[in-house]
Amino acid sequence: MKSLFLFLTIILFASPGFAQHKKIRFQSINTISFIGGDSPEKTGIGSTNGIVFSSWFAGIGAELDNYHFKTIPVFFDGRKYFGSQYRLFIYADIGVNLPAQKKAGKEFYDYSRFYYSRGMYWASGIGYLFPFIKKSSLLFSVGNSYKSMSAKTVVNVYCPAGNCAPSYRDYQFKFYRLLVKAGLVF
Amino acid sequence: MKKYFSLSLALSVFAILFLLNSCVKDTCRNTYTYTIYKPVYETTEQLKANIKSGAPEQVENAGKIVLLGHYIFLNEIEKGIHIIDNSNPAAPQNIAFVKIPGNFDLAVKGNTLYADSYADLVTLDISDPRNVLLKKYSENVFPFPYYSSAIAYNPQYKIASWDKKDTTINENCGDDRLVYLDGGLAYQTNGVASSVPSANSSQVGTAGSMSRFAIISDYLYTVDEANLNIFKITTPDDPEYVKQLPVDFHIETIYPFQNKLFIGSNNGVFIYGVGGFPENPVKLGQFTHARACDPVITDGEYAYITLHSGTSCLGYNNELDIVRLNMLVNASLVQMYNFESPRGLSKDRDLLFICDGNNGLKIFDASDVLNLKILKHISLPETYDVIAKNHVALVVAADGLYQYDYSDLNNIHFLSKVSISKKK
Repeated sequence: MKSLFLFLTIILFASPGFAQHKKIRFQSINTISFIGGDSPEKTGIGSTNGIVFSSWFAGIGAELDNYHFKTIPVFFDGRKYFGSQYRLFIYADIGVNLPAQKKAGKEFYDYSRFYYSRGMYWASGIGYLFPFIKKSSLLFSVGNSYKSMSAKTVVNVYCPAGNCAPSYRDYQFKFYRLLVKAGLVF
Repeated sequence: MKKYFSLSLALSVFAILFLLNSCVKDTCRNTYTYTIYKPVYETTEQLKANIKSGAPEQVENAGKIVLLGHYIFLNEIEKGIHIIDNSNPAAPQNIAFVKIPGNFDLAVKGNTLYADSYADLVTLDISDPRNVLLKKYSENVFPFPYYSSAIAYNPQYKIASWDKKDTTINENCGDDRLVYLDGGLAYQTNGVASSVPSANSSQVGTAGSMSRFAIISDYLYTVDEANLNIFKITTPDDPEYVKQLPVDFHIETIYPFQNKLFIGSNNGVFIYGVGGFPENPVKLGQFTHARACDPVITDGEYAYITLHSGTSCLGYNNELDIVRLNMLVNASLVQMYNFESPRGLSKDRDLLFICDGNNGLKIFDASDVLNLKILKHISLPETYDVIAKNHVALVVAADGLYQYDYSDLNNIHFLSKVSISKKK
């Protein structure tokens, strides 16, 4: 968590500027994420693309999220810009969290296997756009995010005769995380 | 002004982070269902009184098979033995069910069937399959019944059946309690030899490669987790326990060939000779392989061993090992073939039949062991064991006992199926 605050300090004290606002245009938001929580901090990368209309943005995004399990959230993104220069914004994402791999392969023993399946993803936060080169901006945001997923283990047991029914266990994982993003918006 | 703006923004963000930090949390919930088996006890006398032919029953959980004459003896795991009249392989008739609690294995010689019942050996007269008679009940001859992993075995009482109750537990990950196998805590290792009413009353039934019982001449050999058990069956109805011989740990199968026993364990194959000294088998050789579940058969020149992983036998190998026996004392691997999950196997002349788990039954031309040629691949679910004899392949799969005619290799075709209907 300390590294997150260090990162914030560096970003926030960088000199800000302002970019021009247009009423309707395409916008691409490309970020790297620092994700912190109970588990060790991880990074992620993502891209959200959509339309800016007045002070609103709507788009679709995807990320590679390495927190605890490597997953790919795919989500709808909505954000509202504030201020005369539309620098300050709040955002909300909602979508599905897809496992990056369906099968984790061999686990603690060869006779046990994990099969991952999708869950839910949402995120919300507040951010600021710092003017950068030409019409692009540097983005910085903080917020929280949630991703869930499930896993099923299949354990095949030796039996002295016939085919023994495998044993199943179902796991439900839920991760509430702190999410800090930095990136380029154009 | 910009400096103050940045400072206030930074302070705001820190404040937000501190607030959000209290929201971070990882949770994991673990849900699993397991089955509690509560034994229903009977006295030995009660249990013995119930060992007899009854009306045919639906096959629910097929285990070992023995073929003799025109009868198929099919183990219903832990419950007994189905007797199937196979006079017409295209239309087999399930004619009787013999209730034998705790039964896993069987062997047949002439009109006598030997079967295990937990720690005990049951000897049955099967002259009339519809009226099977209990001839002898030998108690505690198999001292290590598998099922005892979770139950203290009490020789005063016999387990007649199990009350089954499914239980679902939902808990935080990491709080896992140690629960043994879903659906089973108790497995017994030992099997029996069965015999069929036939023209030749001393004929020995052909068992599948997964069998743990074997008959050579006047002796019944059985394997348990670590030992070879020897019974003298000179008087078929009165088997006499001779002795026990330590072999290895994690023994799985025994395969008789001429006057030799091929014993498969998790770690290898052990070859014992019984010619001339049937009560004192002599270890002739062994072949060690990677740890895996592994039945073994032989044609005298080569041993064929299938290894499969994916169970608590551990191991990562899924293969067929062909081993040259080399006078038995120096067995050596000559060829290895990869499979998906090979189980039971059988050989009839140059034809090699291999159950490849969910990949069905595969039939090979094995005239050249260095270059097996697949002749037929039959898709079947969870194939377990096979007996190929007299141009008919008898295959135990998850949903049925199948028979295929291979008298014409260009037209290997389906003959019949005895359905298996597993109880949930």
